[in-house]
Amino acid sequence: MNKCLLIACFVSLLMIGFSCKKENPIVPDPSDNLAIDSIVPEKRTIVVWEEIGVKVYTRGTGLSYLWSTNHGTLIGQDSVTVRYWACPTCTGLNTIECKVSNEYGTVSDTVMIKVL
Amino acid sequence: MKLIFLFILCTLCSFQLSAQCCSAGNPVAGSGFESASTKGECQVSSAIKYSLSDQYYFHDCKIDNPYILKSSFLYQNLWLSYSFSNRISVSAEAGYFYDKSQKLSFNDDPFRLGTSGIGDVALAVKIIVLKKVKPVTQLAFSAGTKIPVGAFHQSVDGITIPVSLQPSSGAIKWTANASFQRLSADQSWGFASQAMLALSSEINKDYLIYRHGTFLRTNAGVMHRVLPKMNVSLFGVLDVRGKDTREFDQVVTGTGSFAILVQPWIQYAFRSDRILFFNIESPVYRYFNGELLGNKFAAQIGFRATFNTYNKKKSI
Repeated sequence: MNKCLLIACFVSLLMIGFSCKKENPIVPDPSDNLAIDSIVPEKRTIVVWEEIGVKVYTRGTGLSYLWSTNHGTLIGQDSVTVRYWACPTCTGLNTIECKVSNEYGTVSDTVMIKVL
Repeated sequence: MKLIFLFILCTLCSFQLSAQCCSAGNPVAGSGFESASTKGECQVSSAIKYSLSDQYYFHDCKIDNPYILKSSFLYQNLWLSYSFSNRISVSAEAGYFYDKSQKLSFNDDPFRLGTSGIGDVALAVKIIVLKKVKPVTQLAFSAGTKIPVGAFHQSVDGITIPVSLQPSSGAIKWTANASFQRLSADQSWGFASQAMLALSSEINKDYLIYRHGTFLRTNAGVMHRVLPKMNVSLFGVLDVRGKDTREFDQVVTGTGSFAILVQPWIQYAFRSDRILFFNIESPVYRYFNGELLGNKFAAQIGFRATFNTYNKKKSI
């Protein structure tokens, strides 16, 4: 009986020993170096001359930003936020693009704003 | 006679913005009606133009807008022309915007949004189909293109400037022009008229798909020689601009306009081939299909010189 118990304990210890893997060092996700998580406007549908804020959420360090739009006007508020409005000839579905760059390259994302 | 001839031609050599503000691209372009009318004649011209717009209109009524206090530009062009024969000449024009900007009221603070840069290049070929000496009469046609070589993606502090404030139009344009002029027998009076049509190709860059409306400018005016070396002219101008379109050929509602302008000129000739010119352009009536920023006035001063390379070659 004691012998069986001893063997069982030994096998259990072996199983535990083999089952434990060595802790790997944490490798950062490549996207942590440079990524745009999202571009978030205050509203997605606005009327002519209505002003909204648009904010970009990013990952990475040493980032530079370049905002553009196909119709309407953008004014910088801070490095990650711009103000947007559209004149009467800018009605329709408009695109705001943000390009983010650092030493790892450039990524971009867009958001659509409907101007009524 | 040549002096008078140059006066009128100089007047007609300038195409300017219509009363609709914020058109992208060059505000002044070679019209194809240059005075290069004898073989081997070479002309050089440069002009500086300032334009100011500070009022929004809905149809023909003034309205308020919450942001734009004024819009202006300062532009200088360089125009060259060469005559291969007495009836055929070619011309080229390029220019630079020292400033093309809007003054905005943003959060109750004045804010300047704008840039500077090289404008588009314009090329044209002119053919004189009718040329009479007594009385001096000329009918000419020209065709040309504007090539969008200028700056179109200018940005300031991480923000790309709106298309309407970019120095380049971003689109190839095709132009056609017809012009007629006639002087009185004593050449102290002159009449001239001109029509110019500009068709724009589609801009397709990044997310921007846009086509500017067809633009037609016609003008007619009289010139009078008030002093041996100075004349004055007064032209009436009619501008008609078609509606713009964007992606999927959607018509941009509110674009399109017509305007009537007056254009007084003063020209002074140091010599028959050296002319200083100045003009003001002011809209007297305008009608926009929607809500648009209208031009208040534009002023231009320039200098033109003519050289005859053919005669020099012959004399050598």
